[in-house]
Amino acid sequence: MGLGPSLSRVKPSGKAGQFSGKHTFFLALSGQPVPDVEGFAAGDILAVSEKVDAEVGDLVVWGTPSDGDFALARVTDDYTFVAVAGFPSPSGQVIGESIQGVVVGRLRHLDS
Amino acid sequence: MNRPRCILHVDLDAFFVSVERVLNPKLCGLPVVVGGSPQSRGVVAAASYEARAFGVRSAMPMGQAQRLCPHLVRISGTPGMYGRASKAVFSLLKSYTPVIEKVSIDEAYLDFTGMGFCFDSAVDQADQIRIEVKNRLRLDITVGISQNRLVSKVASAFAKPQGLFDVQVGREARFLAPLPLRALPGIGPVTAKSLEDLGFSSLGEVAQADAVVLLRAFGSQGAILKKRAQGVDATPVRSSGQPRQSSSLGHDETFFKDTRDLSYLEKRLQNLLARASYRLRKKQLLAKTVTVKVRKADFTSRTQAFTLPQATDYDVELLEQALRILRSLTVDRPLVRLVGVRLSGLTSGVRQGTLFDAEATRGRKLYSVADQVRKKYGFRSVGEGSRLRSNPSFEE
Repeated sequence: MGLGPSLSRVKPSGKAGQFSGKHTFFLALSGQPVPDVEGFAAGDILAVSEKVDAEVGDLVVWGTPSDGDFALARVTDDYTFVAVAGFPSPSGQVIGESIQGVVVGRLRHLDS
Repeated sequence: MNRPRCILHVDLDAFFVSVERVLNPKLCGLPVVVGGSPQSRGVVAAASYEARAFGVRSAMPMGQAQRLCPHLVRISGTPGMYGRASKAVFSLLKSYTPVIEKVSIDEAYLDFTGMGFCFDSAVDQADQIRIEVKNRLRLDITVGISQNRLVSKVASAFAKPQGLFDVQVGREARFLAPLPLRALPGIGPVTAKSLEDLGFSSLGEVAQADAVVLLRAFGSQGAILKKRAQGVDATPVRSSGQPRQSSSLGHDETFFKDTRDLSYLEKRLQNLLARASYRLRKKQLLAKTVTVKVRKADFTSRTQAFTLPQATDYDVELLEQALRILRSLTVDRPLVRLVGVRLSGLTSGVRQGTLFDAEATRGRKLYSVADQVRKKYGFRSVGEGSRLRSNPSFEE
């Protein structure tokens, strides 16, 4: 994804880690996310639910996991996708096929 | 904040152990428990995460905990200190929002609804609370954030220890869906077993279940169960002084030695009920349901409840049914390890007699005097005559 923020798969410590792989995976945000209304910060760990259809308002993870490339986008009212936190703008043509899951929450640890 | 409601569930991590570690930093990193000695049949009141890695859990008999973790460090505990530490934490939390409900010595709900003008982000705000508690009191907290109490509580359990979990607005059901049945508050072992027997293994399956199936299995509670599995909960956060309508209170006692002696069990139950009723009156609550629990020496438990036609805060009115239940639960004379009583169906108020109900008026006066003495000299200062006569060494 180049410079700026990036996402990589992690298994979080503590209780949350017990749920990793059970239709939920976790992505750690690193690099330099651009400040916006989402308020993401480096060190945040996103809990992502797999096997669900994205709906209006969802924050989705898209990209190609084989390359380790993930990005975030928000589904708008007209079913278009808006990039968040400085991730690349998605192309409406391909994002539907490359959605990896829906973000259900954000985890932070005190030491993160 | 862009949330209709913004509720934080704040939970202190391994609270008693954490306080002991503040007092004695050498305990940091060790498997530590706070609780009674195995010789006096004590149980684990709190366990450090290092001890939990060995399978040690709260409420576990201390002897069992020491077998699981032979190098376990046991501390008897300093109850007064925990109260002071808790007070300090809650005093700090109150500086963030006036709407705070303390649910136990180490747990609270904070309502940040409508405070978006003060804080840009609930997550940043929660982070600030965590850091301030850590820096000022050297205690760790975990925070769950969502639109309601139920999901925030699950979120904080998910983030333990030293974590913070913010559930995306409107994605509560999706967050809960992959979680196991027992992750939802209110689903205990019995309900979980019933759900498993019906073929459910996750909250997502319960959330999407056929309402008729749940209705047949759980009655009217089935619909509530389904809603809760969907992450729906409208329960408000009540500030201190606003009693919760649907809570319960109770006491239990683990005996120094297992017993089959029914008259002894009855005396202990009577004492526990008197304690629970005293707390009812102090909180100006009335109870409608009394539940008695008996745990046998083999650790299996039996419980049975009775609902009175009229709510009360007089132990004498609850005692008759409590004793009847106890006798029913011990009809086969089992060896008993613990007996407990719980009062539920709580409503605000005090027991009122009718205009001509002289007995109720006398009862009210009697309890009022006894409670005043107890308030000044402690619960043990007053006992019923029958109990004192039958137990000359009354030293509660």
